[in-house]
Amino acid sequence: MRRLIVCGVIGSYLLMLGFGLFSHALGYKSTSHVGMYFLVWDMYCGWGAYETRSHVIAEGESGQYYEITPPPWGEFVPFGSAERHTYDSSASFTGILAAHVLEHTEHEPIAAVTLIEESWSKKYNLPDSIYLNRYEEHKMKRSYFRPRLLLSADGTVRERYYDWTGWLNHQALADNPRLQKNMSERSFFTLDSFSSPANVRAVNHTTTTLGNPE
Amino acid sequence: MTQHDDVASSTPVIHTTPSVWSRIETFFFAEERPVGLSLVRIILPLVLLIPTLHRVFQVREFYSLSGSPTPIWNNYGQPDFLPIPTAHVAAGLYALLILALVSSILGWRTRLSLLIAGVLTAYFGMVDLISTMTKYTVVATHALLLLSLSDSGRLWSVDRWLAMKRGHSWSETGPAWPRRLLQILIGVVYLGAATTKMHTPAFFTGDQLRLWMLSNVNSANPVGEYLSQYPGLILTMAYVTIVWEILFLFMVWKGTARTVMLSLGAFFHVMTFFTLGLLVFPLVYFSIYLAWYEQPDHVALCARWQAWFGRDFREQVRASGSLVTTRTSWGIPSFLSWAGCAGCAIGLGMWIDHTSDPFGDQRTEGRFALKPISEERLAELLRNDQQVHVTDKVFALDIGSVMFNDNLVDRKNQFRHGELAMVQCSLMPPHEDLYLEVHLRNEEEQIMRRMWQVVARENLRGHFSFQMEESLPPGAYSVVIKINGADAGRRSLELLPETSATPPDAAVSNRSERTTLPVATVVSPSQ
Repeated sequence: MRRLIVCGVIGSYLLMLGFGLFSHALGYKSTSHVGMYFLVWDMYCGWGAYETRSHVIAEGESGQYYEITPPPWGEFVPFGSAERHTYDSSASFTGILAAHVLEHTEHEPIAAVTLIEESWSKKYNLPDSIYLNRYEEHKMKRSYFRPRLLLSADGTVRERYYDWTGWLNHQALADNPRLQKNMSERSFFTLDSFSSPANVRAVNHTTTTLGNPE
Repeated sequence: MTQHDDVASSTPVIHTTPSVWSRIETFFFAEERPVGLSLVRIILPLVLLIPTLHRVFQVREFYSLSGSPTPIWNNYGQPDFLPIPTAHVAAGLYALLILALVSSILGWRTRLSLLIAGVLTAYFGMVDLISTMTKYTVVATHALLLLSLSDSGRLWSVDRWLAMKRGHSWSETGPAWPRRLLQILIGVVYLGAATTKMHTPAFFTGDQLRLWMLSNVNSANPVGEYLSQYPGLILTMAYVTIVWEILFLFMVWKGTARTVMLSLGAFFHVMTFFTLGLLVFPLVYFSIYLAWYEQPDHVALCARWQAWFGRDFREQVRASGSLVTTRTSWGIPSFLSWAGCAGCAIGLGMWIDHTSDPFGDQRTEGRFALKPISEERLAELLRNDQQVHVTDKVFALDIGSVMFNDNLVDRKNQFRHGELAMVQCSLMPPHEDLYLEVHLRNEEEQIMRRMWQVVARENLRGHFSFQMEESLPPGAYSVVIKINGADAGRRSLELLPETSATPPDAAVSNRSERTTLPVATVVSPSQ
C-alpha cells in the first residue's frame, strides 16, 4: 500500500511537471490559474531596450503635488537599485501602494494619484569609461517621462495609458492614415480587470490625447 | 583454436539485461544513504534565509492587510484566492518561517520543518508578487516540499542525534525517489528555460541577453556590462546555453556526461551572478545540485579529505552505518519542545510587530507628512514625452569586418585599401520604419561616400559596407549615421597608408588628385 501511494506521488508529480512544460511550450492555459506560476518556467521571457523606473505622485485639492514614492519612512530595494514599486511592471498595484502611503501620512485632501513612468535607453547604464570608448562621446543620459495610470484618491482607475515601449509600438503602427481613420471611427468599451462593472467606460484610439493627464 | 576456446564458444552466453520496469524501480526505489539530500536540506534553507531576513522588517508592509500586499492571484484574475493575514498573524507566520528554515538546517523535526518552510515560502511569495515572488522562490518551494517527503533528516541532524542519545533504533537509508524527483525537476526547469528561449527570437541574435546584461533591476553586474560589448561571445554562450539546457535532463545521470552537464551548469549559474547580477538564484541552484552528490562521491571525498588532513571520516561513516536497524517514529518530547519553540517564535514575532511602528504613526513629532514636489521636478515628471530623441533611436554604431548571425563581432576602426568596412547601426526597439543614411566623411567633413536604406520596424539593425577603394586617400574619416535627415551617431575610422614602400611624393600627388574627385558618391540601397 505504501509503495502504491509513493508511485501515485511520483506519477502525479511527473505529470504536473510535464503539463507545465507542455503548457509553456504550446501556450495552452499557461496563465489560466495562479498555480501555473509554479509549473511554467519562463524565466527572462521578456526583454526591453529601455530601463524603467516608476514614480507615484498625488495631486492635492489645492493643486500642489506630493511624492507618494518613495514613502516618507523609506522604500525597500528588493534586488538591485530599483525600488519595490518599480517591479509592478503592469501597474496592477499602484492603487494599493498609494492608498497605503496616504493612509499613514498627513496631507491635504487628495484629488488624484498619478503613476509616472521614467524610461531611458539601457546604453546609458554602461559605465562612463566603456561608454566613452564605445560611443566616442561623453554620456548624456536622457530620460523620457510619461503618465501610465491616473487614479482617484480612493484608488479607482480613471485612465490607463500605454507604457513607454507600448506607446512607441503604437506610434510605429498607427502612423498610417488609413489605420488612423478606421480607428477614429470606432470606440469600444473596457473595464479595469478587477473593478466593478459600474466602471465600464468608453475609450477610443485617438493618439493625440493618449498620455495627457490633464 | 585451443580447447578452452572450444568450450567457451560452445557454452551459451546468457545476458541478464534488467527489464525497463526493473530499471525504473531501481531508479526510484533503490535504498540509499541520503547524503546528497541531507546536504540540500542544510544548504537550501541557509540560502533562503538571505531573502527572508532581508525582508524581516517589511512583514507588516508586504504581507499583511495593514500594509500594501500585492497578491499574485490578482494578476491571474482570481481575487481572494487565498486570505491575506492581519499584521499580527503575518508577523507570527513569518517568525514561524524563520524557525522552520533554521530547524530544517539543524534537522530538528525535519519533515515538519521542511513542510512548513515550503508552504510559507510559497505563501509569502504569493502575497507579495512584486518584491518577494521570483522563480527561485518557486524552485525552492518545490525543493522544500520534496525534501519534506524524503529521508534527508536521517543524516547530520538533531533528530538523529536525539535518537542516538535516547538509544532508539535509527535507519540511515531511504528510497531514492525524492532525490530523483528533485533531479528531474532541475532538468525540467532547464527544458522550460530552453522553451522560453525558443519563444524569443532575439535570444538567438544576442539582443535579449545583451540588454539584460545592461539592465539594473538585479544586483550590480559590472562584468555583464563589460561583456555586453562582445556580441560574438554572447552569441556563442547563447547557443551553448540552449544546447546544454536541452541535453541536461537526458545526459546528467552518469559518467563523463554527468560531470560535463553539472560543470556547465555550475559555470552557467556563476555567470548569471557576474553578468546578470543574480545572487540568490544561483545559490539556490548550487544547493539543489547537491542532489547529485551520492554515497560513492561522499566516500571518495572523505578519502580525499583523509589524505589531505589525516582525519578518517570513513570510520565515522562506517560507525553510523552500523546503527542501521529500523526506522523510528516521531518522538513526542522532541515534537513538544519543537512546538514550544514554534509557539515562542510566533509569539515573539507578534510581540515585535505589536511594539513596532514601521510607518511612524506613533511618532512623538506626529505622523509623516507627504513631501511636496518642486515646480521643476513636477514639470519634468509631467512632461508627457511623445517622441524619442534621434540619438536615442540608435543603440550603437559599430564598424568592423566580420559578421555572425546578423551581428558585427569584431569592432575595429583601422582599415587598409581593398578592405571592406562593414557598418552596423543597431536600433533601439521599438522603432518606426526608419530611413537610414550613412556617410563616410573625411576630416574636412566632406561626404566621400553615401548609402541609404529603409529599416523596417521589425528589424533591429541596418548594415552598410564601404569598400576602401584606392580613390580614398589614407587619413582620418568619420562614419555618420543620419535618421530621417538628422545626425544620430558618429564613429571614427582611419584608413591606413599602404605598408609597401610608396614614395612620399607619390602619396602627396595621389592625395591632391583625389581632391579633384566628386565629394559625394551616392550608392543605391546596400541591402
